[in-house]
Amino acid sequence: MDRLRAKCFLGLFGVLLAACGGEERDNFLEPAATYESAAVCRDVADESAAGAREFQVYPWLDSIGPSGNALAVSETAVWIVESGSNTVRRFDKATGQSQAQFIDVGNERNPYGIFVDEASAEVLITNFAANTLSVVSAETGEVLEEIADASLKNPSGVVATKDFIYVTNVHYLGTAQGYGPGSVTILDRKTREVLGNVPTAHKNPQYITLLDTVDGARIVISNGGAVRLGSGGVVAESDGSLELWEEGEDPLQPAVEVYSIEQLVEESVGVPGRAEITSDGRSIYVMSGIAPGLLKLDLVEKRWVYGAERPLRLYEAEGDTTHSIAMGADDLLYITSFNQDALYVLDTSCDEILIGPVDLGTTGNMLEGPQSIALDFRSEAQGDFTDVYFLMSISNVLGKVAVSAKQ
Amino acid sequence: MFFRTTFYRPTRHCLWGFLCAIWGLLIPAYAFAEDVVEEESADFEEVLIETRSKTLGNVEDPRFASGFVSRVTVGNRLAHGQSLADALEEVSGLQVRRESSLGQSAFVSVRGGTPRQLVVTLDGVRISAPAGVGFDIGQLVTEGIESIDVYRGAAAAVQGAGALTGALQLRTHVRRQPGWDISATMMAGSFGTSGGSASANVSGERAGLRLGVSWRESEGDFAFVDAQNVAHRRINNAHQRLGLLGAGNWQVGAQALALSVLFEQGNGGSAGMSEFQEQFASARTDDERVVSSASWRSSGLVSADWGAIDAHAVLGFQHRGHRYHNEEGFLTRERYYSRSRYQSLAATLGLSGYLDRGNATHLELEVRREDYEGVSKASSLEGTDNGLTAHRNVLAAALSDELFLFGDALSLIGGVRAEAIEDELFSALPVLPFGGVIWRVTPWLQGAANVARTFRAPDFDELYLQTESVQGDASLRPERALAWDVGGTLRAKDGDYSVQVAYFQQDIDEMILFLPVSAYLYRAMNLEDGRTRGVESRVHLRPHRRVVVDGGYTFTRAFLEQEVVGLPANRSEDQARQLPQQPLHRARLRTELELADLLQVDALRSVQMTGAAHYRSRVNQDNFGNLTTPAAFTLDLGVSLGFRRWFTLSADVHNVLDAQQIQDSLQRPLPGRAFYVSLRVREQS
Repeated sequence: MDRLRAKCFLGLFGVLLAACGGEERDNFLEPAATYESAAVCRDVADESAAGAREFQVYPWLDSIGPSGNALAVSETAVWIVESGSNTVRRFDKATGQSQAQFIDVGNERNPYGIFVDEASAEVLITNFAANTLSVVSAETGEVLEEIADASLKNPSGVVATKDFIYVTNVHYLGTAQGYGPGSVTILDRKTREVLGNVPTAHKNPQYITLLDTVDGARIVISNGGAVRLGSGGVVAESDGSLELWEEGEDPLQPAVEVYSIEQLVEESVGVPGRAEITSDGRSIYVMSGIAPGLLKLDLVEKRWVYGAERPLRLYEAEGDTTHSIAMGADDLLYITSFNQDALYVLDTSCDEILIGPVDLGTTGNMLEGPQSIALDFRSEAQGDFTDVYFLMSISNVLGKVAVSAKQ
Repeated sequence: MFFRTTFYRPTRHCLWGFLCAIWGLLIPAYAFAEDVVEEESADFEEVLIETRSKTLGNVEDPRFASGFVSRVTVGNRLAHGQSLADALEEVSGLQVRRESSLGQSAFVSVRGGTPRQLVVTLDGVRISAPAGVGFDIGQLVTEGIESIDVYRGAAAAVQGAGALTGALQLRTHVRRQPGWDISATMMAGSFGTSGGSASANVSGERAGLRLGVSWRESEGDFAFVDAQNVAHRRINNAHQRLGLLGAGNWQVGAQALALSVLFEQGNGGSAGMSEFQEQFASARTDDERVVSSASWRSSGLVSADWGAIDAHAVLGFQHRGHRYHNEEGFLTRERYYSRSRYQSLAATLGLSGYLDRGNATHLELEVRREDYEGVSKASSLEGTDNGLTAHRNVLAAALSDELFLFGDALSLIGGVRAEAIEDELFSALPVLPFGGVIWRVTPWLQGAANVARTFRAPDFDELYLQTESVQGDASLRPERALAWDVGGTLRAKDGDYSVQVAYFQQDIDEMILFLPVSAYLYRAMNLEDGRTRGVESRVHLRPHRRVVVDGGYTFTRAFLEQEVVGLPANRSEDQARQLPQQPLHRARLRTELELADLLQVDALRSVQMTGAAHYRSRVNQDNFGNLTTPAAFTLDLGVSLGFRRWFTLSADVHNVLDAQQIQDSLQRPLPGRAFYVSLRVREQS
């Protein structure tokens, strides 16, 4: 019996030895796929500028918290708004390491939009459900102040200029009543005092961006208009528009230009998302929030080149689709397609699709839902890279597409 | 205690090897220890120890004797602040997902399956509805339910379509020995919990009657620490629940009749996501259930030299109603409500034939009608309710045979169950063969292996639900699985020592899940093939007459057959693919110590101390392994003092280490330390 026990012991020791062996593996990342594109705009002589690119897809950089909603890229980090956990994650671009829950805005907040200004070490976060704006230290993640004001009604988008903070108010009243009048709350940057509230031309001002136009710096507000979710999907119920504000001495009296979309003509297209502009400051692009249609506004001719009635169709689709866009320094427009887990790249010099769909997912057929996209440019000295960061709101992932000129 | 654990591949291998080693050492040690047990057995007869142990036992369903079925006794769980979910957590191979504190929803899955892939019966009447996210075991009353038989894997094939990965068979109990007993229990505990139950059993030579009532209520709110290490209070967990049971039996010669009626009714709060509790502060549910059954059993309906034929029949009815409403729905800001009503009527007729030369044959016919009506108002945009009305008719026939060979050392079991399932747009004719073998190597060693085809028709909501944001698909294909397992049991003659280890695997075709198809819409769809496999084990030891030790460990891999790309080298693809709510590792250890004979106090009938530890590794909360809930460890302690023959005082502490950061399903925190005391009086003839 002792012999049997000895054999058992030795055998099991061998099992332990084998099971505990193996090498530690590192966090090395390789691209899951590489795509190449050829130039599509023939009238551009410079091939590299025209779109001959290589796209390396890294579908998994990091896990993120639930219901990721917005991305922002700053000098050193990628900031990820995790609406479901009321937190913001900070992803260090250099090290690839994350600080989970770097910012905790508090329960019941439902953070929605983010604006990061590392120069002033300030992060601004709109809290959709709490009707507040959180001012956070970019260095420590500490919430410095949470601003509540009667004018804040489902705050969504946020940007800051040198002197002022602009917060768009979606003013969602519920599925029964739809949307109330939209507005922009304006705060003093230094004192954080609410200076006032300016109504928007149309309902549901979900996004706000700062753009350098041919006419100078503008605050661009995307008014989606009232939308309704029904058995037939999402449809627009009221008109939407792009609103361009020129900041003056009195922030409550901006010079305003309104470009209506007239989306009720074709109610399944429209509902503009975030606005992006070409490097010459002439053309603003917005993607429809409910259809695969791209809208283009010519700021010189002051007209829609592609409007809701004649959008630039990216692909054919049935049912609701959502997208996020970002403009590269080389005037390539990056567009994520939520329903396809895909990226499209449009060369805005001729409005032709350079490449797409580029698969961004980690799995074959489960929807992962790219919700937001943000770009990071690296200089020519660094290899002329564009890093396209995207967040997947269903699979809870931060990913990246590294774009470079094709060798 | 709270662990944040990451299992990298080498670590997991190491753990696996360690567990193999432990089991490997236990098995020979157990075998060699048999002589010692026999030496001690004489002492057991001298000291009478009344144990409150919920010791698990294996039971055989005669229709599929080789299948892995465990029986867990429910007993007087109420006295110890426990629900049926706690009883089921003691079974290896099961995973219980809790929503909140005592009395709130809890769902069970078997061997890596989903709660939908489970059939629940009460005294032979199917009570799990083909709709919703699965059977809610957390809200069911415990009074009157004596035990639960847990069918795992292939064994569940005899329960028919729906039991894709397992089945639970709840049993009530009526005293059969002549005499009477009455008992009453009162309990109170943390989170404003209180309750009571009373039962009376009377039985004569030919008839018996049991009446029982139970009441439980709780404020249920508790402190917890969220993922950001911020302390909060969990709100809106209150509940009240009433249960009534009446059961009787009547024996005339070889004929036995039994009747039972179970009624339960409850209401309470329904807490939502912990990060957005205020949005669910006014969410309420209320529900009721009536289950009645009448059964007839005839032993030796036909009896002759060659053998005998027994017969049985069961007629069952269930009504279940459930309502939910929230005055201001999450982000929608308008009243949301839903209500559902499910009724079923079923009749079963069975014949069992036993041949003298070693053969048992079982034939069963079942007919069942199910009616479901659900209404939800997810949106008032179109001003109409989203209604779902569905009916299903099921006709089933099953035949199985067990052949005893080599002096009963070997049993070969084979059978087939065929069903005709039909509702408005869906119909299926599944044929489910099953088979197994039992090899009784020695009186103390037994091996068994099983294989079966199992089947689940899509639930009503998976087929027909049509709301703005969630939709079924009438063209869904049913889930089918090939389930097989093999295992062995070592058991001492006196039952004081036993060890069971089993390997299981289930290959699930056409797995059905509700998945997003856009930013606004979830739709039921068939997915790639699912796989679950693992090892479940259980050990029961009585190393000393005063000590009982029960333990169990389950390893479960549950995943979809799909490639995951782009992961860094140090991130396990296995972990990424593991299905939500399925921990890789689960372990439990329970010890019970009886000290009455040491204290030498006349008035003390028993002094019993218990300790139970539970561990589970981290669980995925999404289908991609990116959202996870950390590993959790809890420790429970209890003491029971039995005075004279009729009076028992108990005190229990749950989660002794006050781990307040434990979460189960997504953003569903579980309570920290909780105290319960109870008083039980019992008198019997």
